[in-house]
Amino acid sequence: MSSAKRTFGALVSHDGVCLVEYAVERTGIRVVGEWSESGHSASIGDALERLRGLLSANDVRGGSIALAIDQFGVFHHVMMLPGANDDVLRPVVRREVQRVFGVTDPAFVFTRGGMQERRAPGRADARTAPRQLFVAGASRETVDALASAFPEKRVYVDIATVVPKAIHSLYQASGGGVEPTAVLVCLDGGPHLSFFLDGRLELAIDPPIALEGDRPSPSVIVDQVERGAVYFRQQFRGAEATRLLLATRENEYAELAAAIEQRIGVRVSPLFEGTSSPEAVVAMGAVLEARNEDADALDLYPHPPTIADRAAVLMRGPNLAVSAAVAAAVIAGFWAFSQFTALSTVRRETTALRAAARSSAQAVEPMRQIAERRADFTRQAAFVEQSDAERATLTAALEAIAEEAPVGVHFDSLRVSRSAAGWSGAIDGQTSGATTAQSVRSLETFFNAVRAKPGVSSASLDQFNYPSSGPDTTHAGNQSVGLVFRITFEIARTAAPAAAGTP
Amino acid sequence: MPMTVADLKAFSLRYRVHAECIGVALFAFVAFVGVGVAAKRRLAPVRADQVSVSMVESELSNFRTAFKPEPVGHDVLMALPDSFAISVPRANRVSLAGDLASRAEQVGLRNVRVNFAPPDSSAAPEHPEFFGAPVSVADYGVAVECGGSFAAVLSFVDQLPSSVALQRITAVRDKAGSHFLVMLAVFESAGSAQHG
Repeated sequence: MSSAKRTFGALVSHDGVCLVEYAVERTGIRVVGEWSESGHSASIGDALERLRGLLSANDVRGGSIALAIDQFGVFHHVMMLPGANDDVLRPVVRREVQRVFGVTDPAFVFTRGGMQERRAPGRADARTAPRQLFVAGASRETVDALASAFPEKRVYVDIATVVPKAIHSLYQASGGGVEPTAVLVCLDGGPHLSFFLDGRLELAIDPPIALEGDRPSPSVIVDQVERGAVYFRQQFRGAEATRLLLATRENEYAELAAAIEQRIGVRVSPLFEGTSSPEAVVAMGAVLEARNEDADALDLYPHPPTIADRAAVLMRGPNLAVSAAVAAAVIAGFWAFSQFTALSTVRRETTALRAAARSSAQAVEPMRQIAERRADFTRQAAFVEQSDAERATLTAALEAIAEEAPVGVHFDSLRVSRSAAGWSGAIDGQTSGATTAQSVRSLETFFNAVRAKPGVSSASLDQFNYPSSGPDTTHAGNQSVGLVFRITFEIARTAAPAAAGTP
Repeated sequence: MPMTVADLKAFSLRYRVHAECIGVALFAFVAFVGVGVAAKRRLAPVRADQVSVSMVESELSNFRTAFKPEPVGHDVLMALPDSFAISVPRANRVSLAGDLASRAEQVGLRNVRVNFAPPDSSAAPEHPEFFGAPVSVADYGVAVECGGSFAAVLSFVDQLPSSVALQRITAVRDKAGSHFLVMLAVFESAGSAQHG
């Protein structure tokens, strides 16, 4: 039995320690073994040491354990309070615990039980309806002792609950029911008596202090049950338990059951069969309490807070503002870090790229010089070609204009100068004919010819006049009619290529 | 419900540690945001610089890939003859004048007179751009006066060297014959003016 994941239940009390090993099977829970060590423990630390001794004796190297604590200042209480959240209920419960048990600074826990809505259906509200609260508490020292019970952490403590809540779980596991029921568990330290009404734990009575130290006799126990039944009847409007679930030593069961049935008149049946002692029954009650998935367990063990618990604390009250501010700062920090990282990365990459480019530039320098020389050569050739074409265009246009001059048209001057778009030209000359009509016709013929020359544009006849010095006798004889004219024109820098399809 | 200054004061008095934590966190938030924004602002130009450097590197790489070395001895062939020179050093301008006079006379022009003159007032010619020796239009021009036929003048213009650009032709006829004035702009290598 040295499996790493063994499961146990235990009862820790002044009068002894009981350890039960169990196994979870498909059909339920099976008790595998029981060990107990009787004897008085001066403190809970001593009792837990004895429990550790039992575990070591059974070669337990790892597993989990559910504890039921009896005595050592551990107390329990059942309250009825309106429904509210834990933050509201906690101070109320604290004051009640301080008042009832006289503990100044109690460590306590509470869980919710059944709801008792006594208002009319119209006013009923499940959120505020009165609910049972099961309260368990202990001194800080006891809780601290529990926390340090297993320092090696090889045994995980599932729960540390109180005996009445373990009995509650046992009752529920036995089927519960609405029948008023008393549960009697006779431990070495005294009888624990609980009363259930409509399935709810209404009353839990600890053993009288006077009985501690001696195992009470059946008659004392019956007296205790009788007093409890009376109190139960008084507190709950005449309710009477009609059955009693009994857990006691085997050798006492028959006698005690008969005495109870005879004195009180209730049906007695065993509480939890399969174990050999009432201590083991309570230990299994702790196991059932830990494994109850329908309700929160009443757990005094100071479990380290889970991540969800820590998150819940951070998201409550003023912590929420702090959390939000810290979260904003952290996010801003990450963002700033990412920006800086990106900046530094880009700078580093740029520096590397620049070095590579510089190296490449040095490597291609001879190539660049060759390429520039090639480009210069090409440009030089193109420039020479362009200059030649430009001059050829100009001279061809001027030659054509000169050739187009008909008989009777003479040039006095020709001026051609470079303009932004090409060449600007101006021809001053004279035309003569036998008649004015012939002179004008000659001029018109020439002007039209100039205008029609390829590359010549914006030709205009700017001056058209008769000379004041009388008819020209130089070219046309004494009877000729002369005209002076000025034609201006533009010549394109280079001849436009002939358009496709031009006739 | 909006929070007032009084509420904040009450909060800070009641939850002093919380208030201090919030203050420190807010200070850190502001500092981080400030630092982050500054880094982000610097990042944009650095990224642009990176892109441009990257493009340069890419161009260099493409250039190296595309470049084809010249065959041995090809350098010698890759030069135009002197007659195709497109600029004249200022020191050689007299030689240029002689060359022009010679060309004018060869095409049959008479009474050729070549003079240096201020640049012509007409539009300046376009000059070529080179990687090697930059070329510009010289701050002087050449005036060629001559007599002869118009066809000879046109022939002269056709045969002008590439280092000069025609600016103006003026032809005047009088009783003594035709007179021509050809104004030329000169291309010279940039930077040679101060040595002239």
